[in-house]
Amino acid sequence: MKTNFFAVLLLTFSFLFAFSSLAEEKAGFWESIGNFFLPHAEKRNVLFEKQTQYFLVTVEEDHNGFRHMVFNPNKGSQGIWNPKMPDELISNYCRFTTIFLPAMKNPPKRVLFIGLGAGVVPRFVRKNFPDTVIDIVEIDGDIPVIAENYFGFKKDDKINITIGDGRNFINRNKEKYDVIFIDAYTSECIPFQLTTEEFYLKVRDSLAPDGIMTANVANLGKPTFIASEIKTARAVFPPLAVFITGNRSNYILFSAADRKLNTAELKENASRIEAEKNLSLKIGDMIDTRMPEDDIKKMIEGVEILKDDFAPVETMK
Amino acid sequence: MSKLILYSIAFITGFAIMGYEILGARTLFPIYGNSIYVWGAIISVFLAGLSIGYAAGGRLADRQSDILTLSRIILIPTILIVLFPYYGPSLCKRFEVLSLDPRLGSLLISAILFIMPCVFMGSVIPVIVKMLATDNSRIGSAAGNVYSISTAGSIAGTLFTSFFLISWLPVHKGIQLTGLILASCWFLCLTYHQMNKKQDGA
Repeated sequence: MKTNFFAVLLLTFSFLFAFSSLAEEKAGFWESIGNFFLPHAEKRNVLFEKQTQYFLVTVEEDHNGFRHMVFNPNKGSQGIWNPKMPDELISNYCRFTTIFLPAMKNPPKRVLFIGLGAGVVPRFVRKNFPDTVIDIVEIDGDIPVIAENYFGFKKDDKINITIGDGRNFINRNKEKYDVIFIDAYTSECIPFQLTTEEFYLKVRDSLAPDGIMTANVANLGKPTFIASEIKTARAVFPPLAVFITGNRSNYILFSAADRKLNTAELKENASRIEAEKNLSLKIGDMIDTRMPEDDIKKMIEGVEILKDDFAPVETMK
Repeated sequence: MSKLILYSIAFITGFAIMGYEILGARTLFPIYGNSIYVWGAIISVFLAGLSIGYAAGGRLADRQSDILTLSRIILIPTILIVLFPYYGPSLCKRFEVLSLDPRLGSLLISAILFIMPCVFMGSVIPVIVKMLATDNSRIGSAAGNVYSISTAGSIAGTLFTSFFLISWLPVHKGIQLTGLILASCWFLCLTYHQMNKKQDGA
């Protein structure tokens, strides 16, 4: 009886071992197929890898020497940084975020980031506005450390980092912000509680008079979700403006609390600020990608506004 | 046949537990976010409820284990779950204002909202075991079957809720539907009662 038991145990383990080695071999095989077909899968140098509470985070260096923060292998970058030109904004989303510059009326006293990523945009804000208080809420406690170690993000005494969910932070928040940057969706996970009408209402409550909110909605091949998200944000911020990055990879939503953002005025402000701050971002070109009001109306026709009670973002197409 | 009814009740209870857990979690995310803390709090509260329920149900079963007792036990969580939309959201609003630490807050609110139904749904299991185990030499297989079937129900509830229900219905409607599914146990209890009455009569 006892020998039987041990024999079964031994057999089980040997099977497990055989399967695990087989699986490893297979991964290598698929990886090589992937490298052959996918142009983006160029050999990247992995500088750092960590399984955090929420993601498998890797820091990868591409052939240009750019560093990418990647959540879970083979997915898009959460942030890109060039160590040789540390103040350059590389990824499309980060460049488009700078539309907040011409949208603001006054230099910001206090801004909020929901989602840190590589910390490239907070760095940009700090460089251009040394006195602004920057609050950051990030769900994953390892991300600020990685951003500091690999992406040139620097904490200072006017940067406050809170580890936690953005929704919980904004529910409890009592500060007023001049700009709120929302960038909390990853390619696989859209936290529904950061997509709903109730969430945007809380965001509006947290804006200073004349404050600006901006949200990055990555285009993950879910047009209904994007349309619903735009409709939801517009329900709370009726003057919502939508900008579309090159190759339509991201929809960048912008709105002031109640005033309308006028395109001509934005462009005028943009060229003034770029000259003032000595920036070469071509914000004017980004402003040109603004979605016409009629297109927005057509897009959001017939989709539902997302609510805390009903936001099936996981299954939306 | 009457065995089949008892197994079905175990299955449906298991189904309702997990459906309620997943949908209940979804009602808390807008307050405390989808952080690992919230899931941790909810899972531990559900397990605590079941743990208490198993122990209490076992003691109860030794005193009385008939279909009437079973139907009374099921009545309480059914009412609590079906009426959830009337007290859940207002309580959540109150907690939102309190602005507690997400760990403490989610633990407290899930204890208030979820522990009672879990206690009663958990105590269903030992009562069914006792009803099935009429033959002393077969207690092991009776207990094993009941746990196995109730866990299969939990699997079905988990998959049905997370894969389909969340995309079909608003969360609070989904919770009510779960409550109504649990209410179907009542018809099963009634059928069981009728059948046994006939048998006794014959």
